Amino acid sequence: MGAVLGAIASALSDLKALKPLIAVFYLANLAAGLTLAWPLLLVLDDFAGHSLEGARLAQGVDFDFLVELIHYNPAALSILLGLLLPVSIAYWLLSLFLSGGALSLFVNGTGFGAAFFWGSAARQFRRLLLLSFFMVPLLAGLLFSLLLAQVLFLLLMGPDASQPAQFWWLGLLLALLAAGLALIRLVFDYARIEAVRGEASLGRCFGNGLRFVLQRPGWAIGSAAILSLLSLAVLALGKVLSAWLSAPLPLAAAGLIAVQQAVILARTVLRLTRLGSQAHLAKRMREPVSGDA
Amino acid sequence: MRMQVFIAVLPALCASLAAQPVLFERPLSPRNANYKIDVRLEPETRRLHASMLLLWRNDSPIEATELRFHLYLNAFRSSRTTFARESGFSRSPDGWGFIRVDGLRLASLQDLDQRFLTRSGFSPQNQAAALPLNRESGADVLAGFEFIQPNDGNPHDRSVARLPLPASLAPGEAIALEFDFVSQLPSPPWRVGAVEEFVFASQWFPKIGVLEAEGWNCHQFHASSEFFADFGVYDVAIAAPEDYVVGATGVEVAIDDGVDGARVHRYYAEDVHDFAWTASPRFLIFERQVQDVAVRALVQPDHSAQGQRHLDAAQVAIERFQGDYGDYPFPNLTIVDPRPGAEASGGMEYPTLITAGTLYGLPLGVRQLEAVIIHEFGHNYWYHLVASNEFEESWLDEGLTTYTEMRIMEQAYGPQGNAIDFLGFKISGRQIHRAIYMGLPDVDPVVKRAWEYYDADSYRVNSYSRPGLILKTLEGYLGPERMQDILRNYLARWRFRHPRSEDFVQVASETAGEDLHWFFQQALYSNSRLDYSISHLSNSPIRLEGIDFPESARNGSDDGPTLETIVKVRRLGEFRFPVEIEVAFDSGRVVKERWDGQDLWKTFRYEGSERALWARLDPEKRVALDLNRSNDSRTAKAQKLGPRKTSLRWMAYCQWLLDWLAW
Repeated sequence: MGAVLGAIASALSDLKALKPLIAVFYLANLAAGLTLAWPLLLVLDDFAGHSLEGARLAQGVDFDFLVELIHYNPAALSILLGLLLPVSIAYWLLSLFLSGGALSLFVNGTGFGAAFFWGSAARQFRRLLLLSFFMVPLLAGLLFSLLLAQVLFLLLMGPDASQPAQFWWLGLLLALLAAGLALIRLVFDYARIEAVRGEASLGRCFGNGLRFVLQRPGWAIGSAAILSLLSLAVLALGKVLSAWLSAPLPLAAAGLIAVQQAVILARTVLRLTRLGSQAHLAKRMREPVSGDA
Repeated sequence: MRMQVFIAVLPALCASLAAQPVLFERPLSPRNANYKIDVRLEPETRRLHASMLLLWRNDSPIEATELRFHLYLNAFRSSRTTFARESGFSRSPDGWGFIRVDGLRLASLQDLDQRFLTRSGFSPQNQAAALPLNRESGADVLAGFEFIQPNDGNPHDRSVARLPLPASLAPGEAIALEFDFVSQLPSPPWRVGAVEEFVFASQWFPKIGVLEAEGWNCHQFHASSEFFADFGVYDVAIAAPEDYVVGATGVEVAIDDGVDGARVHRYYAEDVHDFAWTASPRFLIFERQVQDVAVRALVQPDHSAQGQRHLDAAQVAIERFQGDYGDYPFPNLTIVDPRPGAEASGGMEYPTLITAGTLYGLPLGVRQLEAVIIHEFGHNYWYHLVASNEFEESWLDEGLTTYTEMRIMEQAYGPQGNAIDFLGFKISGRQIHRAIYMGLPDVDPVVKRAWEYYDADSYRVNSYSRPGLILKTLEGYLGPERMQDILRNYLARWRFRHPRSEDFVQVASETAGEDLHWFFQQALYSNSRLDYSISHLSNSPIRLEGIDFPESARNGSDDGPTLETIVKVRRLGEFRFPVEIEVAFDSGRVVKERWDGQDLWKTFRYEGSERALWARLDPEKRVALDLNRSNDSRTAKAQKLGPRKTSLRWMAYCQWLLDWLAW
């Protein structure tokens, strides 16, 4: 645990010198968010911008309004919902691109240099994208395992299993799916660190990533879990503060937006801390064993 | 509250005395369709073997030359029945259902159970005169029993049969018929059927139609329709395996040992127009006395944690209905929780027995179970006590029940979030019905025969959601107390009778003190849409120019008005309804207007020094039928805060989601 906390502390320390990196990641997220929010603002302005219903939106959206919004603006909302998938894919690619630059900074321990960051990001992007395809067999294996588990359940319990059994089994399957996805992501995280370090073979990167997670599950899972819990705590805090700022007043609304963006910013810091701590842990893995965690 | 209940029904006592029980000292209904049935359940084959005595009296003003019967189970016998063609019903080869009449005889007057005859309204003195065709015993009349298709001529449909009578029955005369029949229950169930150990038997016996002045009212079974029948006494002995728990319409008056280890459960009901029952060895029993009604919930083991929840919902329903609308005269209510796989038999109403349906782990804030129980119990008023024709005017039972369900859900669980209050989402029953109505607001009028709507969705909208909102709108117009009086008076006047839509309108008009045909004509008999909007709001300086105005006035030295406010209201739909309008000014003054809503538009003008801030229609949101509330108001200035705050909230959610997705 000492190694994990140490890695997190080191990553946070690195981030102090990498403020522009935080800004880049946050602004990328903000741009994606704005892309999705702008069409909604246009629809709302047009539909309710000159009505008391529009004024009431400051207190929240009620079900009647939501139904009318969908019913009377089907085309506009189709476009809005249609944007979700392409924006999500584009954002995933952008994040992958940026992560190449960020990991290069962490691995090399240098301060933020725009040329170095963008150059590394551009240089690594193709390799990281290809590396992500190495995760497909793991994903397929995970899904196949869950399918197999479902078949076993049906064989053991029959198609007429009790509702409590089905309910808890479904919960267990979802938990296993989430855990499996988290582990695959950890493998990818450490594999791309290998790639950024300069390992030429992507297959070896993948193997090393897998080996790291399997040999040092405490490190890999521990750092991710601590930062995920912190991220959840930030979300919960944001939720509490948002509830205090729900009054339909311009000042409260501004406060609410500030809180929401502060939460996003904090989560961005935690996301980068995760990358940084993983880079530190990967580096430590390669050093001689010193009897930790 | 209920003085008519004459004796407490103690099964053991009744069994030992072998007496005909009495539920009501004096009949509550005409009791002209009475049934005595012995049925044996064969669980392995899902088959019922039964013998039945039907005692029917011609209460119509015309002579009966034939009898007509519903044989509902035959709707499930093939993919070519009218029901199956309309619904797409299909089953595996051994899953179809049917009813087969193997024997049909005129009963012998001497052999009839005298106590059953007495309870059915035939005294020993008048029997011979009242039952002219039964003076000679045992005549087999099965040969004349034939299937007919009065609605669509579909030769594959056997859900209605006719029996020509040897001689016509004059008004007031009666007939006693003995049937032997076999009922095969479909599997898995639709409304009726069996799966695994669970049996639900509704519409399972040959049931006589209703003879009216115009002739027989006995429709084929359709995908979108329910039932219509006369009242009577039901004395039913159900033989089921001894480990089966049985629940049924009426009260259980005896449990006897039958043959082959079976137990015979004898159920008795008076003044009901249908009889349904269920059996399963897995039922858990939850019981509670609510006012003068003994509630018994038969719950699946999977849902044992929700047994009390069933009873709580029933308690809300019974207390509200008895308090607000009138007495429920029956001593008990049975709630059936269908097993998984038999969900299609859930959410149905039968006299003194209703079916619900739930899921393991259903959160308390998702009040689906409560809404269904309140709705189905409501049908024991609007379907059972007031037996309107569900085939021809489904709104009279479903619409009234939907309205009373919405009202009780609001009273019991609050106006906001009474249907769903979960994870921050709050949705009321009214909002759900409004959303459903908006999806199909003008395809059909409300009053239409159930199988003649455009499609099943139109049937649902025009039977449930739209009539519920129509009555909610009427409540907004008349006030909740007056609306409650209407339903009380309707129930009091039409208890144990067969009212039509016009009868409801008549009661509503009398109670309201005004002729409401203008409202119901649009609401029930047309596909009119109701939508009013504030289409324009402006504040303009008053120009004082021309030869009539001196220079001093133009320079503003006059004390006259300086601003002209114009508010325009439009009727966008065909439905004409009076609307209230409020116009608020920057001085704090709020002007209230009322418009009869007859013309296509109306302009309101105000002159003064105040600037109008906003204008709105229907300030208290009383017009539940209004299809678009977002156009009910208009503000002088653009409302930036609401749309921006909503968009930025959406943005934050998207940012969280993207952040979570990004690797």
